[in-house]
Amino acid sequence: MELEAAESYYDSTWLNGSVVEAGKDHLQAQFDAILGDSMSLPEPCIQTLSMNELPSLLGSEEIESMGVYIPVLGDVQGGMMFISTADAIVGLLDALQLRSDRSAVPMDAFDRLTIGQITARMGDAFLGQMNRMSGMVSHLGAPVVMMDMAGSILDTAVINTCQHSDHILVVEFSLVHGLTKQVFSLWLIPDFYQDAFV
Amino acid sequence: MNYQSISVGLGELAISSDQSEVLVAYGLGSCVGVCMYDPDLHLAGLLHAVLPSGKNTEKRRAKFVDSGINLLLERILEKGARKDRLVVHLVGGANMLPSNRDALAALRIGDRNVTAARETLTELGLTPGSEVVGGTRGRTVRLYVHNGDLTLRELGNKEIDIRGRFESAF
Repeated sequence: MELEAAESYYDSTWLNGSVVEAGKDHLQAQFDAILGDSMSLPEPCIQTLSMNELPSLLGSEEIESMGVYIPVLGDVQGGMMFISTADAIVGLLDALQLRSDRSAVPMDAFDRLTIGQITARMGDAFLGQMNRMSGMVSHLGAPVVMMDMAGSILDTAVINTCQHSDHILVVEFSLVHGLTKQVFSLWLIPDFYQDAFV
Repeated sequence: MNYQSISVGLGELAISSDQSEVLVAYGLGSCVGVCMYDPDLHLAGLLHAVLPSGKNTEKRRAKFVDSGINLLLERILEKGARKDRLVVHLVGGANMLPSNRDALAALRIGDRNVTAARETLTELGLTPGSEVVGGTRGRTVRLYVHNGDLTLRELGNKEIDIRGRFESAF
Protein backbone atom coordinates (compact mmCIF):
# COMPACT_ATOMS: atom_id res chain seq x y z
CA MET A 1 0.00 0.00 0.00
CA GLU A 2 1.37 3.40 -0.95
CA LEU A 3 0.30 6.67 0.51
CA GLU A 4 1.02 10.07 -0.93
CA ALA A 5 0.44 13.06 1.32
CA ALA A 6 0.64 16.72 0.56
CA GLU A 7 3.03 18.87 2.58
CA SER A 8 3.22 22.56 3.19
CA TYR A 9 3.31 24.99 6.08
CA TYR A 10 1.17 27.68 7.59
CA ASP A 11 2.17 31.17 8.57
CA SER A 12 0.22 31.82 11.75
CA THR A 13 1.09 35.50 12.07
CA TRP A 14 -2.53 36.28 11.26
CA LEU A 15 -3.50 35.61 14.84
CA ASN A 16 -1.57 35.96 18.04
CA GLY A 17 -2.18 35.00 21.62
CA SER A 18 -3.25 38.43 22.77
CA VAL A 19 -6.19 38.45 20.36
CA VAL A 20 -7.31 35.07 21.60
CA GLU A 21 -6.80 35.96 25.25
CA ALA A 22 -8.81 39.17 25.05
CA GLY A 23 -11.46 37.49 22.93
CA LYS A 24 -11.72 34.72 25.48
CA ASP A 25 -12.30 37.20 28.31
CA HIS A 26 -15.01 38.91 26.28
CA LEU A 27 -16.61 35.56 25.53
CA GLN A 28 -16.56 34.47 29.15
CA ALA A 29 -18.31 37.69 30.16
CA GLN A 30 -21.03 36.97 27.59
CA PHE A 31 -21.51 33.41 28.80
CA ASP A 32 -21.71 34.61 32.39
CA ALA A 33 -24.36 37.11 31.38
CA ILE A 34 -26.40 34.42 29.64
CA LEU A 35 -26.16 32.02 32.53
CA GLY A 36 -26.28 34.47 35.41
CA ASP A 37 -23.53 32.40 36.94
CA SER A 38 -19.79 32.21 36.59
CA MET A 39 -18.27 29.91 34.03
CA SER A 40 -14.62 29.18 33.57
CA LEU A 41 -12.80 29.32 30.26
CA PRO A 42 -9.27 28.00 30.82
CA GLU A 43 -6.42 29.20 28.63
CA PRO A 44 -7.21 28.42 24.99
CA CYS A 45 -4.82 26.29 23.01
CA ILE A 46 -3.71 27.78 19.69
CA GLN A 47 -2.51 25.15 17.29
CA THR A 48 -1.53 24.90 13.67
CA LEU A 49 -2.66 21.49 12.51
CA SER A 50 -2.32 19.72 9.22
CA MET A 51 -5.48 18.73 7.38
CA ASN A 52 -5.05 15.12 8.33
CA GLU A 53 -4.58 15.86 12.04
CA LEU A 54 -7.90 17.69 12.28
CA PRO A 55 -10.18 14.66 12.74
CA SER A 56 -8.28 13.68 15.87
CA LEU A 57 -9.65 16.81 17.56
CA LEU A 58 -13.11 15.29 17.41
CA GLY A 59 -12.28 11.62 17.77
CA SER A 60 -12.90 10.34 14.27
CA GLU A 61 -14.04 11.48 10.85
CA GLU A 62 -17.38 9.73 11.14
CA ILE A 63 -18.47 11.04 14.52
CA GLU A 64 -21.66 13.12 14.48
CA SER A 65 -20.60 16.72 14.73
CA MET A 66 -21.90 20.22 14.37
CA GLY A 67 -20.13 22.92 12.46
CA VAL A 68 -21.18 26.54 12.34
CA TYR A 69 -19.60 28.53 9.55
CA ILE A 70 -19.64 32.31 9.83
CA PRO A 71 -18.42 34.42 6.94
CA VAL A 72 -16.13 37.33 7.82
CA LEU A 73 -16.67 40.39 5.67
CA GLY A 74 -15.02 43.80 5.42
CA ASP A 75 -11.32 44.70 5.52
CA VAL A 76 -10.48 41.13 6.41
CA GLN A 77 -12.40 38.43 4.61
CA GLY A 78 -12.66 34.75 5.18
CA GLY A 79 -14.59 32.78 7.71
CA MET A 80 -14.72 31.17 11.10
CA MET A 81 -15.81 27.65 11.81
CA PHE A 82 -16.98 26.61 15.22
CA ILE A 83 -16.93 22.84 15.47
CA SER A 84 -17.57 20.23 18.09
CA THR A 85 -19.20 16.87 18.54
CA ALA A 86 -22.98 16.72 18.78
CA ASP A 87 -22.70 15.51 22.37
CA ALA A 88 -20.53 18.45 23.39
CA ILE A 89 -22.92 20.91 21.73
CA VAL A 90 -25.80 19.43 23.68
CA GLY A 91 -23.64 19.78 26.80
CA LEU A 92 -22.99 23.43 26.04
CA LEU A 93 -26.66 24.21 25.53
CA ASP A 94 -27.54 22.36 28.70
CA ALA A 95 -24.83 24.20 30.64
CA LEU A 96 -26.21 27.50 29.40
CA GLN A 97 -29.73 26.27 30.15
CA LEU A 98 -30.75 27.16 26.62
CA ARG A 99 -32.25 23.95 25.30
CA SER A 100 -35.89 24.30 24.50
CA ASP A 101 -36.60 20.62 24.98
CA ARG A 102 -33.97 18.60 26.77
CA SER A 103 -35.57 15.38 25.59
CA ALA A 104 -35.08 16.30 21.94
CA VAL A 105 -32.46 14.01 20.43
CA PRO A 106 -30.12 15.36 19.54
CA MET A 107 -31.42 18.87 18.88
CA ASP A 108 -34.35 20.59 17.30
CA ALA A 109 -34.47 23.58 14.97
CA PHE A 110 -34.63 26.04 17.86
CA ASP A 111 -31.49 24.52 19.36
CA ARG A 112 -29.71 24.90 16.06
CA LEU A 113 -30.74 28.52 15.85
CA THR A 114 -29.52 29.04 19.40
CA ILE A 115 -26.13 27.48 18.75
CA GLY A 116 -25.83 29.63 15.64
CA GLN A 117 -26.36 32.74 17.72
CA ILE A 118 -23.99 31.62 20.47
CA THR A 119 -21.36 30.94 17.86
CA ALA A 120 -21.88 34.36 16.36
CA ARG A 121 -21.19 35.82 19.81
CA MET A 122 -18.04 33.75 20.08
CA GLY A 123 -16.84 34.85 16.69
CA ASP A 124 -17.67 38.45 17.41
CA ALA A 125 -15.66 38.34 20.62
CA PHE A 126 -12.53 37.38 18.71
CA LEU A 127 -13.16 39.48 15.63
CA GLY A 128 -13.93 42.57 17.72
CA GLN A 129 -10.60 42.25 19.47
CA MET A 130 -8.81 41.77 16.18
CA ASN A 131 -10.46 44.90 14.82
CA ARG A 132 -9.35 46.88 17.87
CA MET A 133 -5.76 45.66 17.61
CA SER A 134 -5.39 45.98 13.87
CA GLY A 135 -7.45 49.05 13.15
CA MET A 136 -9.27 47.13 10.44
CA VAL A 137 -13.03 46.94 10.24
CA SER A 138 -14.60 43.56 9.66
CA HIS A 139 -17.90 42.05 10.65
CA LEU A 140 -19.58 38.69 10.70
CA GLY A 141 -22.15 37.44 8.22
CA ALA A 142 -25.04 35.17 9.11
CA PRO A 143 -24.03 31.81 10.59
CA VAL A 144 -24.72 28.58 8.70
CA VAL A 145 -25.27 25.52 10.89
CA MET A 146 -24.25 22.07 9.60
CA MET A 147 -24.85 18.72 11.23
CA ASP A 148 -22.94 15.88 9.64
CA MET A 149 -19.93 13.62 9.92
CA ALA A 150 -16.89 15.42 11.26
CA GLY A 151 -14.96 14.66 8.09
CA SER A 152 -17.53 16.37 5.91
CA ILE A 153 -17.50 19.47 8.05
CA LEU A 154 -13.71 19.46 7.98
CA ASP A 155 -13.87 19.67 4.21
CA THR A 156 -15.70 22.94 4.41
CA ALA A 157 -13.18 24.38 6.81
CA VAL A 158 -10.09 23.52 4.83
CA ILE A 159 -11.05 24.16 1.24
CA ASN A 160 -10.25 27.85 1.34
CA THR A 161 -6.93 27.54 3.13
CA CYS A 162 -5.64 24.45 1.43
CA GLN A 163 -5.16 26.15 -1.90
CA HIS A 164 -2.18 27.76 -0.21
CA SER A 165 -1.39 25.52 2.71
CA ASP A 166 -2.10 22.10 4.15
CA HIS A 167 -2.50 23.52 7.64
CA ILE A 168 -5.20 25.41 9.46
CA LEU A 169 -5.17 27.57 12.57
CA VAL A 170 -7.25 26.16 15.40
CA VAL A 171 -8.18 27.77 18.70
CA GLU A 172 -9.24 25.01 21.03
CA PHE A 173 -10.92 26.08 24.22
CA SER A 174 -12.87 24.43 26.98
CA LEU A 175 -15.77 25.68 29.01
CA VAL A 176 -16.11 24.58 32.61
CA HIS A 177 -19.31 24.95 34.59
CA GLY A 178 -19.48 23.08 37.85
CA LEU A 179 -18.23 19.57 37.18
CA THR A 180 -18.97 19.77 33.48
CA LYS A 181 -16.26 20.47 30.94
CA GLN A 182 -16.90 20.78 27.20
CA VAL A 183 -14.22 21.23 24.59
CA PHE A 184 -14.76 23.27 21.44
CA SER A 185 -12.72 24.42 18.53
CA LEU A 186 -12.88 27.68 16.66
CA TRP A 187 -11.12 27.48 13.32
CA LEU A 188 -9.97 30.57 11.55
CA ILE A 189 -10.22 30.46 7.80
CA PRO A 190 -8.61 33.47 6.14
CA ASP A 191 -9.34 34.24 2.53
CA PHE A 192 -5.81 34.32 1.18
CA TYR A 193 -6.93 36.11 -1.92
CA GLN A 194 -7.46 39.24 0.16
CA ASP A 195 -4.63 41.75 0.36
CA ALA A 196 -4.73 41.66 4.16
CA PHE A 197 -3.13 38.21 4.10
CA VAL A 198 -0.58 38.74 1.35
CA MET B 1 -13.83 -11.72 6.72
CA ASN B 2 -12.10 -9.09 8.80
CA TYR B 3 -10.80 -6.29 6.66
CA GLN B 4 -8.04 -3.88 7.50
CA SER B 5 -9.18 -0.33 6.82
CA ILE B 6 -6.68 1.94 5.12
CA SER B 7 -7.71 5.52 5.69
CA VAL B 8 -7.17 7.82 2.74
CA GLY B 9 -7.16 11.34 4.16
CA LEU B 10 -7.57 14.76 2.60
CA GLY B 11 -5.22 15.17 -0.31
CA GLU B 12 -4.03 11.59 -0.26
CA LEU B 13 -4.27 8.57 -2.50
CA ALA B 14 -3.72 4.89 -1.83
CA ILE B 15 -3.13 1.86 -4.03
CA SER B 16 -3.50 -1.67 -2.75
CA SER B 17 -3.52 -5.24 -4.03
CA ASP B 18 -3.80 -6.72 -0.52
CA GLN B 19 -7.16 -8.47 -0.54
CA SER B 20 -7.52 -8.13 3.20
CA GLU B 21 -7.60 -4.35 2.87
CA VAL B 22 -10.38 -1.87 2.27
CA LEU B 23 -9.54 1.66 1.19
CA VAL B 24 -11.66 4.23 3.04
CA ALA B 25 -12.25 7.94 2.58
CA TYR B 26 -14.17 9.02 5.65
CA GLY B 27 -16.78 11.74 5.54
CA LEU B 28 -16.32 13.06 2.02
CA GLY B 29 -18.05 16.43 1.93
CA SER B 30 -17.20 18.75 -0.93
CA CYS B 31 -14.13 16.64 -1.66
CA VAL B 32 -14.36 13.95 -4.30
CA GLY B 33 -13.31 10.35 -4.07
CA VAL B 34 -12.16 8.71 -7.30
CA CYS B 35 -11.92 4.92 -7.27
CA MET B 36 -10.13 2.79 -9.85
CA TYR B 37 -10.18 -0.99 -9.84
CA ASP B 38 -8.61 -3.64 -12.04
CA PRO B 39 -10.69 -6.78 -11.44
CA ASP B 40 -8.17 -9.15 -13.01
CA LEU B 41 -5.39 -8.10 -10.64
CA HIS B 42 -7.61 -7.24 -7.66
CA LEU B 43 -5.81 -3.92 -7.68
CA ALA B 44 -7.59 -0.94 -6.16
CA GLY B 45 -6.83 2.77 -5.99
CA LEU B 46 -8.62 5.56 -4.17
CA LEU B 47 -8.00 9.30 -4.43
CA HIS B 48 -9.38 11.82 -1.90
CA ALA B 49 -9.02 15.16 -3.68
CA VAL B 50 -9.89 18.50 -2.10
CA LEU B 51 -9.88 21.18 -4.80
CA PRO B 52 -10.51 21.13 -8.56
CA SER B 53 -7.09 22.37 -9.60
CA GLY B 54 -4.16 24.40 -8.36
CA LYS B 55 -0.85 25.97 -9.20
CA ASN B 56 2.50 24.40 -8.43
CA THR B 57 0.86 21.05 -7.87
CA GLU B 58 3.97 18.93 -8.44
CA LYS B 59 4.62 18.21 -4.75
CA ARG B 60 0.98 17.76 -3.78
CA ARG B 61 -0.69 16.32 -6.81
CA ALA B 62 -3.17 14.23 -4.83
CA LYS B 63 -4.77 17.31 -3.29
CA PHE B 64 -6.18 18.51 -6.59
CA VAL B 65 -8.76 16.70 -8.67
CA ASP B 66 -7.11 17.10 -12.05
CA SER B 67 -3.54 16.29 -11.06
CA GLY B 68 -4.72 13.71 -8.52
CA ILE B 69 -6.66 11.66 -11.06
CA ASN B 70 -3.66 11.67 -13.37
CA LEU B 71 -1.44 10.58 -10.49
CA LEU B 72 -3.86 7.83 -9.47
CA LEU B 73 -3.93 6.50 -13.02
CA GLU B 74 -0.14 6.62 -13.30
CA ARG B 75 0.31 4.76 -10.03
CA ILE B 76 -2.22 2.04 -10.75
CA LEU B 77 -0.81 1.47 -14.26
CA GLU B 78 2.69 1.24 -12.77
CA LYS B 79 1.39 -1.62 -10.63
CA GLY B 80 0.35 -3.51 -13.72
CA ALA B 81 -3.28 -2.47 -14.20
CA ARG B 82 -4.59 -2.13 -17.73
CA LYS B 83 -6.50 0.99 -18.61
CA ASP B 84 -9.10 -0.91 -20.65
CA ARG B 85 -9.93 -3.05 -17.62
CA LEU B 86 -10.27 -0.26 -15.11
CA VAL B 87 -13.59 0.22 -13.38
CA VAL B 88 -13.96 3.82 -12.23
CA HIS B 89 -16.30 5.33 -9.65
CA LEU B 90 -16.84 8.95 -8.68
CA VAL B 91 -18.21 9.90 -5.26
CA GLY B 92 -18.63 13.08 -3.20
CA GLY B 93 -18.75 16.70 -4.29
CA ALA B 94 -21.50 17.69 -1.89
CA ASN B 95 -22.22 21.34 -1.26
CA MET B 96 -22.05 21.50 2.50
CA LEU B 97 -23.06 25.14 2.67
CA PRO B 98 -26.13 25.36 0.44
CA SER B 99 -26.57 29.03 -0.18
CA ASN B 100 -26.72 31.52 -3.00
CA ARG B 101 -25.17 34.23 -0.92
CA ASP B 102 -22.06 35.71 -2.51
CA ALA B 103 -20.12 35.37 0.71
CA LEU B 104 -20.46 31.62 0.53
CA ALA B 105 -20.09 31.22 -3.19
CA ALA B 106 -16.38 30.53 -2.90
CA LEU B 107 -17.14 27.59 -0.66
CA ARG B 108 -19.49 25.92 -3.16
CA ILE B 109 -16.62 23.80 -4.22
CA GLY B 110 -18.45 20.50 -4.53
CA ASP B 111 -19.91 21.22 -7.97
CA ARG B 112 -16.56 22.40 -9.26
CA ASN B 113 -14.81 19.31 -7.96
CA VAL B 114 -17.27 17.01 -9.71
CA THR B 115 -16.97 18.94 -12.97
CA ALA B 116 -13.19 18.81 -12.80
CA ALA B 117 -13.29 15.07 -12.12
CA ARG B 118 -15.59 14.38 -15.06
CA GLU B 119 -13.50 16.52 -17.41
CA THR B 120 -10.24 14.91 -16.33
CA LEU B 121 -11.62 11.39 -16.63
CA THR B 122 -12.97 12.20 -20.09
CA GLU B 123 -9.59 13.57 -21.17
CA LEU B 124 -8.03 10.30 -20.01
CA GLY B 125 -10.61 8.22 -21.86
CA LEU B 126 -12.20 6.91 -18.68
CA THR B 127 -15.91 6.77 -17.94
CA PRO B 128 -17.22 6.31 -14.39
CA GLY B 129 -19.20 3.12 -13.98
CA SER B 130 -21.09 4.79 -11.16
CA GLU B 131 -21.44 8.24 -9.68
CA VAL B 132 -22.91 9.33 -6.39
CA VAL B 133 -22.27 13.03 -6.30
CA GLY B 134 -23.75 16.34 -5.21
CA GLY B 135 -26.35 16.83 -2.55
CA THR B 136 -25.66 18.41 0.83
CA ARG B 137 -24.63 15.42 2.94
CA GLY B 138 -21.24 13.93 3.60
CA ARG B 139 -20.43 10.33 2.69
CA THR B 140 -17.90 7.72 3.71
CA VAL B 141 -16.73 5.59 0.79
CA ARG B 142 -15.14 2.14 1.06
CA LEU B 143 -13.44 0.29 -1.78
CA TYR B 144 -12.89 -3.41 -1.08
CA VAL B 145 -9.69 -4.67 -2.68
CA HIS B 146 -10.68 -8.31 -2.98
CA ASN B 147 -13.66 -7.76 -5.29
CA GLY B 148 -13.94 -4.04 -6.06
CA ASP B 149 -17.15 -3.59 -4.11
CA LEU B 150 -17.86 0.05 -3.39
CA THR B 151 -20.01 1.09 -0.45
CA LEU B 152 -21.26 4.41 0.87
CA ARG B 153 -22.50 5.50 4.24
CA GLU B 154 -24.13 8.74 5.27
CA LEU B 155 -24.52 9.94 8.83
CA GLY B 156 -27.14 7.85 10.60
CA ASN B 157 -27.47 5.38 7.72
CA LYS B 158 -26.11 1.91 7.06
CA GLU B 159 -23.38 1.12 4.58
CA ILE B 160 -24.88 0.49 1.12
CA ASP B 161 -23.33 -1.16 -1.92
CA ILE B 162 -23.45 1.17 -4.91
CA ARG B 163 -21.29 -0.71 -7.40
CA GLY B 164 -22.90 -0.67 -10.81
CA ARG B 165 -25.50 1.92 -9.91
CA PHE B 166 -25.64 5.31 -11.50
CA GLU B 167 -27.10 7.90 -9.24
CA SER B 168 -26.70 11.64 -9.18
CA ALA B 169 -28.08 14.10 -6.70
CA PHE B 170 -27.73 16.99 -9.13
